Amino acid sequence: MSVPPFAFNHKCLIRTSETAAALRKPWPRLTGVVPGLTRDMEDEFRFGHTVVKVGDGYRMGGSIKGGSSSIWVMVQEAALEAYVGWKQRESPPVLEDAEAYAEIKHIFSEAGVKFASYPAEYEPSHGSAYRVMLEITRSLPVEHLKALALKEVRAGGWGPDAAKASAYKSGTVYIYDFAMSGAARTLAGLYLHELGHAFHDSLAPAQARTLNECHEIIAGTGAFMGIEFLLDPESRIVYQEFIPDEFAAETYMLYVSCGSALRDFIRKQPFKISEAWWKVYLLYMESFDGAGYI
Amino acid sequence: MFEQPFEGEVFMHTITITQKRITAAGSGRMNREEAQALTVDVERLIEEPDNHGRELLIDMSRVEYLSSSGLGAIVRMFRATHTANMEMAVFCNKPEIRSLIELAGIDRLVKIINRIDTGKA
Repeated sequence: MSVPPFAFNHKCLIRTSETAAALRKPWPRLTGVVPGLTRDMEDEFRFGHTVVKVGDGYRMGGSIKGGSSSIWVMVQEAALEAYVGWKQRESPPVLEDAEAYAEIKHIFSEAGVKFASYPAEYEPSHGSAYRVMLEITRSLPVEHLKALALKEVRAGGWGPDAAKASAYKSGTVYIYDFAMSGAARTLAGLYLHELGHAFHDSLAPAQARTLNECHEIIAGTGAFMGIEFLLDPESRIVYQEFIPDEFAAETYMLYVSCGSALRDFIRKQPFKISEAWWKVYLLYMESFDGAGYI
Repeated sequence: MFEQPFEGEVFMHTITITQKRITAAGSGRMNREEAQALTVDVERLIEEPDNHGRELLIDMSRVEYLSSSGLGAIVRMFRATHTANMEMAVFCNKPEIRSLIELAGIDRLVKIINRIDTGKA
């Protein structure tokens, strides 16, 4: 039996949430399943666009800054039915989940992190989003959350940095309405990605240097994992290739959601790339106190 | 019935080449097929060594609707220009289109400009 060159000696392996685990597989298409749904429509819905009825017909598009800046195109009535059918399968609307909201708040408070909903203290229409966030948050050890450069998680609203689906800035993770009301898969990916920025900011200078050096080696061959949410996998790879902190944030998302798939990916690389990836992986493992994900 | 789900102007693109610049200008609604067609055309030109000294400008000033595929196309064209050691910029003077580009974080990769320096071409 051959011994892999780089071993992953975890203290334990944690089971990730179902929504996060779904990220490791290609996003199943609903075109042909949902009546009236076309490939173009599905691409736009995945990106966060919706269909609404207006006075003289129907419009497809999305509010980018809480309605102040948006693009809407005319569509037929069938597009609304397709949207409703798609949304029902991708992220069934759950009105009210105060329990999920209270539990996330509690987990974060144990880690010394504020969790707040915007603009209202609690937004009932974000019930399903709170649930997705809760299930992911439950899978993150409290000691790890304490170690992140994280003061606050804001769910909902548009905030000052509104032309984004989500953001991380000065210790605060922002998950805007755009992400809270879209597909569960997109929310899961964005939430973990932004926490990944908090991880990146928590690195000691020597760790950050290691990450950058390894990124340079990996970027030379483009050996990145591309997972589809918000953007297509190829685009997500390009971001990782050219922006080191996006690589760090995306790798965090992969570490938690795609544990075994990420390790397989690392093992399959040529020696030098595999070594660089392994060093990167160890940085994450350290932050999780030796824990990995199944 | 669903083959044409979006009503309105069809996307067209034109490509002009000057001494210093390749300009790919789109107009109308840029959906998946149109984005692919634009990317294929631009990538063909980028592959030609004669063009490697030129910069690529994507002119979005007449684009009415930019789909997620269109955003992906910009990223792919950026990747291709980088491989060919070429500069790339996106000319975008419409706030709503620019918001979409920012939403996707493309402004972290590609230079977005709101006026064209015609003197450079």
